[in-house]
Amino acid sequence: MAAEAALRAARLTVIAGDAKIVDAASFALSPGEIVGLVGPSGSGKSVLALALLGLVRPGLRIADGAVTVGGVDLLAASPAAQRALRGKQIALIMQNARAALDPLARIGAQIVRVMAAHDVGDAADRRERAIALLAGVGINDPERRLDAYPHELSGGMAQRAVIAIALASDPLVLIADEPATGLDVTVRAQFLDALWRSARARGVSVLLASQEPGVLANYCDRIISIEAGRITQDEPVRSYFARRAPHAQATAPAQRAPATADAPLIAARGVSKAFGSARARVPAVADADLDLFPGDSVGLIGESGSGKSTLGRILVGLLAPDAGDVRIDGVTLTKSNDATRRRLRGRVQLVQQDPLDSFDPRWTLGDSIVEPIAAHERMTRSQRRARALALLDRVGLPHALCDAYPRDAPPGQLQRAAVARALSTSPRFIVLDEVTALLTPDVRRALVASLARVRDEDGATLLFISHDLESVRGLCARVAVMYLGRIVESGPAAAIFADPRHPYTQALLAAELGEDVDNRRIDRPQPHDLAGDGPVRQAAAPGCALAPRCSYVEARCRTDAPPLRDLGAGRSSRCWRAEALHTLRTS
Amino acid sequence: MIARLVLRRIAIGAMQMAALAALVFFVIRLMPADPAARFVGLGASPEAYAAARATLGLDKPLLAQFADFLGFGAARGLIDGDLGRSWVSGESVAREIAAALPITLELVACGVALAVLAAFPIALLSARRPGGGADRAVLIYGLFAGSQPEFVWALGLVFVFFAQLGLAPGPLGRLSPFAEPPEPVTGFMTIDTLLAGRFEAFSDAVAHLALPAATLAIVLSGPIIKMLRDSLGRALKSDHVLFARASGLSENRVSAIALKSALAPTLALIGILFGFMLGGAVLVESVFALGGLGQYAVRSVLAFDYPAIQGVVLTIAAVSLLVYLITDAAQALIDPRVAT
Amino acid sequence: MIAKPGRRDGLFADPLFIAGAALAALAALSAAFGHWLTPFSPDEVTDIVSEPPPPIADWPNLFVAALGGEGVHWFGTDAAGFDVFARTLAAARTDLLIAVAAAAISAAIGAPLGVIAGAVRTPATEALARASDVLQSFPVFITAMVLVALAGRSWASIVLAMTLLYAPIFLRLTRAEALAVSARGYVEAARIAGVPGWRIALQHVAPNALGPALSQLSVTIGFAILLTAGLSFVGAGVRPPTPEWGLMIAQGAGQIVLGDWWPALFPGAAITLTVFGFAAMGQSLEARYGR
Repeated sequence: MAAEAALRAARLTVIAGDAKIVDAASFALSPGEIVGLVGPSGSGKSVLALALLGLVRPGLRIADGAVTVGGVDLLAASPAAQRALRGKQIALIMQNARAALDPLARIGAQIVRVMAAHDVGDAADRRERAIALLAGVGINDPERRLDAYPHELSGGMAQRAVIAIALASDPLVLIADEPATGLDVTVRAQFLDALWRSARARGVSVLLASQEPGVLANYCDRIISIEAGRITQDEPVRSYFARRAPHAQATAPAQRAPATADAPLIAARGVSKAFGSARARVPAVADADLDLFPGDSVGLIGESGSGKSTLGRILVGLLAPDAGDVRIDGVTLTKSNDATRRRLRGRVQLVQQDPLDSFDPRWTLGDSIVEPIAAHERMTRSQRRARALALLDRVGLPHALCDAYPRDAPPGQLQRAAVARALSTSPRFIVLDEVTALLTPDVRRALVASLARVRDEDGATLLFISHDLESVRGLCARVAVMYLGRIVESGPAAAIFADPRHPYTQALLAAELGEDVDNRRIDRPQPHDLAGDGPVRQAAAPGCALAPRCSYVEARCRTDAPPLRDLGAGRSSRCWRAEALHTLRTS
Repeated sequence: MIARLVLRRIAIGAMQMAALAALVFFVIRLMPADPAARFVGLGASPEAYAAARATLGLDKPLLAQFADFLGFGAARGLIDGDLGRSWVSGESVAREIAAALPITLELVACGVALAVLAAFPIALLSARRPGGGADRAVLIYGLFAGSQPEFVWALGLVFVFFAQLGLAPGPLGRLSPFAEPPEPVTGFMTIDTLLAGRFEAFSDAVAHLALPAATLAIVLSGPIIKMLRDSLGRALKSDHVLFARASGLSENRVSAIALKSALAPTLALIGILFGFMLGGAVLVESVFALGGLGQYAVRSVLAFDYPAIQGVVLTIAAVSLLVYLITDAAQALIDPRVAT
Repeated sequence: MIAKPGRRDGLFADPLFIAGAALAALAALSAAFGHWLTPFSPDEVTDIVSEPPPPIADWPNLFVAALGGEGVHWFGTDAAGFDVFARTLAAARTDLLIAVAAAAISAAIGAPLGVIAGAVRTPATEALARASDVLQSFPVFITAMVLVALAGRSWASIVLAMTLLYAPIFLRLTRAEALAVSARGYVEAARIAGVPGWRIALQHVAPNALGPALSQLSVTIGFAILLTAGLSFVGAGVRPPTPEWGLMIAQGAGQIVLGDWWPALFPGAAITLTVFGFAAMGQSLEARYGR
């Protein structure tokens, strides 16, 4: 077995100055094997992945070790021989596909020049080969895409183009560094499926660096763990998850029943908002209805660009709707943002996606946390400090953070500090906008647990905007699903997760990569995956917005737009075939 | 798509020129200068002074003067492409500028070209190892080159190459004093001498152009090198260059990719510097007595020759806008993202 | 980008900044105390015309003599008989006063307007931004020349003309930065907390958007010295016999051709070193605070 390894790394060491970023890493990939490389950010995953190709970013140096690919030691080879191996025997798929593509060259030219560098085929038929490659990674209309520039491609398509380039000269080994992290969940799952299938079909070995347990569980045969530059474990995927399971379960908070009351705290009716110039208005939210009752916790899910964040910002009075009518805690939103905000001050709060961006780099965290109170109350220095410390206690953060600056705190703590700031005014309503998106899975669970505590102790109403279904499942009693600015389904969380009544919800749930090794996405048939690479905006098309991508589509869907229909039991869906979906899906 | 970009820019440029024309006209008339007094000299009789004001049209109301300038009065004006007559020489300003502009264009074009030629190898050297010795030396040079007034560089070059070494001709014009200038066709001395088939005059013209162009090149190379170095450094650190390496492309190929992505922002800077130097070259022109647009401007300003001042400012602005347009279009050709 | 606080202490660890600050300080010192270093007046001619500077070898003896109160023409005398050393030192005062005043006034007008135009977007502030764009499309040198010549060739007109040309640069720079800062999460967080707009602009936007203006200020002082000297050189700046570097070089230019290098060299070197100092400080500040 040892002799036939597709790739073997021995004592691979990468240094930055005196620090060892990767410390004597040794492992092997068998032919056709898909191996996960897992570790927290900063553990040296990406550096190790690059070093396997003999490459480092500026400031780093490969100090020691050997990387044997196809029987040749890549690191010991001459620069020319290294180049010949790269792309030919071992290829890379980078995290940010848009950035990995040369912005000034057409996709076709980028594929062809890699082929030319490795003498694949002859000049005449390289274009044909490139078309076949693009088709092979699931790009529709490959002939036209060949002449596109990277900025003309969607994120999903760019990621596929990067795979096509990596596969251009039939490598033995693929190194994939957090592939498709920035993509929408449905597109991402389909992309990883395509990667998995291409690799299996060609017998390519893949090293898949990822922090996502779901990705590892669904696509990997073996898991290598790395921490602070050292490989700590190398084990089959089942044993990795067997070790991890209890830890993962412990922190998941319990779900609650949906809150009900006579009068909603927040009532939005027919809310619409469009952005852009007068000539090119892009609707962000269209005709949205949403009620939130006191003590409610509602998950607003959907992909990026679906209008979730815009709706959330309208509901806290940061944006004025173009049309429709919103009442927040008895205050009717007006066209004037400033007036509304003054009246709402303190009663509504927002926690943002990027914790580092949400704190002024020149302010201490303590000052930032009490800013909402200090804006309206005169407080002495010591009063401010006492309030800040009390708030830090509420979210379980150490007092030392009070005098720290944002750059000194890790993202997880910063995000909790942002929650503390939101709590400072004892708000009735908090919008949490993708607050878990930039956090690692463990930190994410801890944050969700403390949010659940906040909800239970303060009785605040939460709108949890996310595409992270695990967190939504853990926190929210009700769920609303958005697609292209419209709410397409809403209802009790448990019911929706068990039995989605809209094809888009269904695809969204199917795209979730669970941590269950025995229930992998690739083992299930996915006949109802959505077509295409993400939402297609059709300006004046009648009919359902999902129709171009939907597998359940029928004639009516293309001509008449379905309304949000009440299905009983607190559920509603914007699909003509909502009632029939359950039977259609299983048949 | 590039055609649309060009059309949009022309439309914006036309509006900018209109605003500029109005602004120039009124600003110089708001100034506490008295061109009529300058015209007749001190101690002239009140009658002579009044006569001068009438001759210059200064006795009319300001708005009437503006209408005349624009061409809505009796005579031809800006909308007919007529910049009026110089108060000093009585000649057509447009014609005088047409004679002076090629001199400046020739000088600036040669200076910019030399600077760009020098900048590329230096920036490549510097970007290869950021923070290295070569990189630091280049940074200091860039700061130093831009810290000398052009005329100090120019005088230094004259001192060394003319006064000391005798290699260059004296700073007294575009040709040797007794050489007969060729028939002006393009106004560019180097091209006109070639058109006339006079090769000894051509080399004389080149010799006279060498030091002034070198002066400009020294001053301009600093910012160009800095921009190229920064954008090359960024490109070499970028993901797409790393991916190109990871795909096994040759080092030359990778360098070409990085250079191409560094070129687009540098082009924009070159356009701006070109526009800046159309007026800024005046210092070099005066040291070498070239008689270009800048020197024409100095003469007009010191003589309070309003039509000439207006003409020069508008001409420089128009040519600059044209140059920006060309560099932007070139940028759009390189970078498809700019065109949209 | 956004300035990072707490790294300010690193500024004096940067050799480029130290060198730049030292040169700028040297110019400031000669502007303030230069007249103590020589018995000659910058405004009075001596009988000795076009005397070259003494050879370096004689400097120790001359230095002793100078301490004894004897007048030494360290940099020689020019064609009119002025002491070049006294005038070079005195010119620092003219040039620095004009340049620092012009840059400071430009920054004081342009930067706050830029913060306002970036933090508060109303038709009025948009119009302000467009107006500054038009001002920036004027050819710099020619415009300065026109304004100074027509307003009267005094240092006040030069400062005024440069303010008109440089304030838009600060406005544009700060506005771009303020726009970027206004889109940051912490500004939104303050807005949702109900913090009034003026307070957000003052407490969040201004401190985070003014970094680039700082490096621009240093660079602009250098530009302003070059422009002041350039205007004098073509005869459209301060009037002779004001001691001014550009004017001195212009007067020495004719003698260069004859081989008399010193009347032009010393003021030339003074400009170069001073401008280099401000440019180096600007470069160092830019690396730290962005632009």
